[in-house]
Amino acid sequence: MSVAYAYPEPHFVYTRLLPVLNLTGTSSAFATPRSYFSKPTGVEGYPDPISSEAGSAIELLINRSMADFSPGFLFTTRERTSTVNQDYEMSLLEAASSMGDEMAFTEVVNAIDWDYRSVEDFIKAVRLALNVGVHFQARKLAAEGGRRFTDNDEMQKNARVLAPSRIVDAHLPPDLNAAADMRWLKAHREEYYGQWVALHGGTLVVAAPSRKGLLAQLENPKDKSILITPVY
Amino acid sequence: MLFLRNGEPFATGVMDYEYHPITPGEINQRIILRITVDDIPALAVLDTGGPYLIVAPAVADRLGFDPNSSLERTNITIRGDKYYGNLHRVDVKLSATEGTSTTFQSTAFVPDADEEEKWGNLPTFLGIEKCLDRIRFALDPDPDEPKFYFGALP
Repeated sequence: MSVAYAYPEPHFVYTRLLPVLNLTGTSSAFATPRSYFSKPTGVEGYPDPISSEAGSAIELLINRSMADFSPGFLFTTRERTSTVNQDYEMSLLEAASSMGDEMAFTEVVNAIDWDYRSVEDFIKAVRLALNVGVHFQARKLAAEGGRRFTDNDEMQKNARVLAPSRIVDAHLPPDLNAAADMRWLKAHREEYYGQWVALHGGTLVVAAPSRKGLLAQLENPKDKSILITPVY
Repeated sequence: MLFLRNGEPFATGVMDYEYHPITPGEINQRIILRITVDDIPALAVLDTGGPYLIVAPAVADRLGFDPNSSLERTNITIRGDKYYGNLHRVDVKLSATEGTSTTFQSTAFVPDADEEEKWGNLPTFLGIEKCLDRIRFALDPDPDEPKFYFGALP
């Protein structure tokens, strides 16, 4: 059982927590600076403990060292309830994402029981994960959501774009143009180093100091058979 | 071309690669391959620690991605700089000089067009996860003719 406590701290509730978690009007929310946080047992006057996945998430957050936390996580919150508050968990995710705290985001994702989550929650969590740059979690959530919500177009799009790579065709003929381009680059690297070149089948079409200058000289810049690249 | 002990093919194609730094003053050598992204040729650096195919803005410009086909906006840090863009699904072709070429579908991060100036002349990056994770590969680091062997994972 996970147990978490928090002290009421109105200043943080109204100046830090509510704007971030969008909990305005949720009178039961409490917040506290983490530096004041402790886990008293059997002390009267403290809010009741909660036991839930939300508690686990909080537990994970509070167990981290102070140095690991972004300023946005110098507090934790709870509600006076012994049941799981799912919006609360999603709010924690949102807060972690908006603070750009990848570690906190990952910890909250891992603490949530996704078996009981809606397709909207999955889609939101994928979006938040991508926003914060936690790509591994985004892919994991998209895969799981894609498996569970096969009739939801948005979820399926998430799952498709973030799916593992897939072999399309492994029996295509050799590409001699590609080989010729590489031979040209090897032979002329020093001569054209730092310039932009357009190559077609190992033949230089045009060279220029910039990409813009190169495109201006090309007859058909949209020709897909031309390699347009800087010479590294 | 290359086979496992049980006779199963490990690599079915081979291509040349370049091996040198990609920015002035850099000391790290990079493995540079010529690939195609949705039929557009491009030079790409093998990035074994990176996710996705990360498409250079100059290549993305030629691809003309449909914004409606993209997923959520995201960001990726490359060489200490954070780039914003969108995720797409693309076909990547490894072009063989001998053996068979292979096309695979990969997740691609496409930086926003206005990131091009910051991006500079960096190439496209070929990551492992969600990109080369269905491709077996091996290197022959012969200094005169370095070779990149590749094949599809069954």
